[in-house]
Amino acid sequence: MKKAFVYFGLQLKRAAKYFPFILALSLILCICLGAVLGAVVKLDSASEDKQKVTLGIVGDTEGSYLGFGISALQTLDSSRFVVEMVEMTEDEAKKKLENGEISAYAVIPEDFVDSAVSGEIKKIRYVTTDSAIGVTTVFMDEMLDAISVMLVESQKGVYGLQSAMWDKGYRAGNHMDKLASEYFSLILARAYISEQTELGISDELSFGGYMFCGMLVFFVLLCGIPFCPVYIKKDVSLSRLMRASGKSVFSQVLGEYFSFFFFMFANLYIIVCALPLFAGDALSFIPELSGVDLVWAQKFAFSLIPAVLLISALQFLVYEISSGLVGGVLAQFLGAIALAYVCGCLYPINFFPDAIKNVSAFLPAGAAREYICALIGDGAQALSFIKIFAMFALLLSLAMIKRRQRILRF
Amino acid sequence: MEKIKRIFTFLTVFNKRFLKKPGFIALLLVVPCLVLALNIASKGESGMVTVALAAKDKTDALAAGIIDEIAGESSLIRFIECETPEDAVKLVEGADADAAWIFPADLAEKIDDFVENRNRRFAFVEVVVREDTVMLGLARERLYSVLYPYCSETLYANYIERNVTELETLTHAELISYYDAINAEGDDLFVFSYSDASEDASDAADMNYITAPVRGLLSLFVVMAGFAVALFYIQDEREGRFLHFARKRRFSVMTGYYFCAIFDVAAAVFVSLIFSGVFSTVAKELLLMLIYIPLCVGFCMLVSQICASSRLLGSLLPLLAVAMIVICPVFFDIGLPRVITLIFPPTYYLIALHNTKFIFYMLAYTIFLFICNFGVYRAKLRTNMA
Repeated sequence: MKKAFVYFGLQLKRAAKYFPFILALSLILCICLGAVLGAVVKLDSASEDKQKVTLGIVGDTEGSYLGFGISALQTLDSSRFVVEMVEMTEDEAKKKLENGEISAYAVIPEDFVDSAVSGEIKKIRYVTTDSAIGVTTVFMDEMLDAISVMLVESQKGVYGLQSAMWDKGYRAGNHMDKLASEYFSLILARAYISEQTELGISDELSFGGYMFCGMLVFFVLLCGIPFCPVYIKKDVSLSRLMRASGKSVFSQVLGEYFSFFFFMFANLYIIVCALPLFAGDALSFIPELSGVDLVWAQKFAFSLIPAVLLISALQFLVYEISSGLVGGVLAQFLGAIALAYVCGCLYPINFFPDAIKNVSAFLPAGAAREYICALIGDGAQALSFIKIFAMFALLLSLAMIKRRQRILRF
Repeated sequence: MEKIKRIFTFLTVFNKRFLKKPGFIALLLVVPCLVLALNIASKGESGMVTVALAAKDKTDALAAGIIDEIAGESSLIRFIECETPEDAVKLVEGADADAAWIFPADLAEKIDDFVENRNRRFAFVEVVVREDTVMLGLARERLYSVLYPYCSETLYANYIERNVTELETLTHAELISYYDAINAEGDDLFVFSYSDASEDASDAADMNYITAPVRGLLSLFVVMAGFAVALFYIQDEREGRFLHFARKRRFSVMTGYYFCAIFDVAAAVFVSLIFSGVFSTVAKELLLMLIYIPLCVGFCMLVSQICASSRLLGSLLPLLAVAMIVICPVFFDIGLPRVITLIFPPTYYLIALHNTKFIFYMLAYTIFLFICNFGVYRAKLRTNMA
């Protein structure tokens, strides 16, 4: 037992040389992830003070119904909380699109309104870049579909009236204009079709709270990379020697693992405790973290131990499996990014199909995320502790088996 | 000829150094498998927003029809049909749904009242949410677009019946037949295109949002491979493995060393792209990858030459990974000035796919990086740091 502690102490000393670098970079990483979290939550919040997508409008809109329509959309329509429309020339739009100042631009054909009045609708070109493709494009497609439906149905009404009048031998002129303006008012009033009730977040987490937990898991996953040069063993001759002198694989692995866990936890502990001290007010966009203090941070940091134990066991297994630095760093990165993605640390888990959701619950990052979400929400349950410790034991056993295999291989 | 043969021998030796490691090979094989698994799993039913649908009166044919229509087709919204409004609200309370849309009894009458008055007091669909988000706001556009045809038809009929005396002889059914007879075009009012006019973007909106970030993540993986090689190179250098090369020649040795490992990873990434569901054409993907490899070599070499220590570089890696995930348009474009995003190689790779201009930018940036690399290397030689 004494030997095991001595070995643990030596491992601590070895890793301590790297710790100041890792801690300093972790603090910067934490600030970056905090900024990302803030940006993501702000992008998702439906507040009125922020337009989410800037859309360029290219085409002659001056002195036409189109210009009036666009300004009406910008001042009266519910879409103004989501899309900001800015009129510009195509050259300007191209430049702004390349510089990332606008998400896309729509090119409206020259005689768009005149052709619409005569019953033929010319196509509007929606220009985007690959960098803007993703959720924004797919959502914009949904919105553009809605615009198409409204335009088509309104046309059916106006031209239905015209057709009926012509059949009866009358001219529809004045009535068509009046009906068109009624349709315009109906389009602007469409948001009043529904009345919204907000229940509040109750026992479940807010979007910000959820993403905080996700980012925390992602942060711990990434922290495995800087320890690669310390824990990846190119050869196991020292381990062989130690085993020959009576130090079992079990105590070797435990000694190394707990020194790794110690620094991972110390890293996280310092950062979590720094949150209320330096970022107390900045965290107000997360309802679950408003008004947190140092006492809460200490308690929270210690409650994170099961999650850190689990993730660091996974990272330790990766060190053990990796036979070289290149493979090790890449495996840590791939593991971090793949697990964070499918376990709902970068997107809410509800975005994914059931197959991915079910698998992620039994992956270390998924179990850790669920556990931290429960900690911040309505409290962790015994079942999640059992799941975490079962996974932890499995991962550490695999690491021991791998070490034993390497020692015995000549 | 002899020189080329020697270069190839060195490249083979460097490559062997990486490829003899089973862990590295296993990793290269795992990447395509993971991407394929994600592509298959992403085909399942999913949605960025889950909406529970319920009608207060299950026997109301109009409400049932609208619910069926709404639940019909959307790549982004997953709909769950509930027996009662209470069930729908329970799903929202339990965070199993993001919103509940509840349709009233006598829906036709309620639509009529709304079209007549068009204000908030006559709202007829109850929307229950836990917290409002932009996505829920956009999802509601789908609700409005499905209800709009009914509102439009009601507005048309009401307007004519109340204001157009010339048509008072027509029955309601006859009026509706005129409305239905209009074959207005506009189903494809918007045509998607890329800023590079030669590119067709008709498939842009049909993309799967789950596999959409895969290209970006794979391009990040290539850069991270470059940094991993940098750590390995620093370690090898410290162990004196390059001592038999003249100091002046070590720049080309270093370039070849980086190139070999990054090439192997890029090959695995190329295969992964084929399985990802976001593959373009072989010629285009190949060209991009062949230009991307030297770009990553140049970028990673420069960062590692500046850091010069495995401790510092190792600690920087998570930071660089996060910086690239956020700054490059991998998941979303956060609207940073393009000058900042163009520091990192993945931005060029992602944009160049649909904007040929960026292929030239990529080449120019690669040349710039190699000039900088050589400058740093020479400076280090002069100061005895290399």
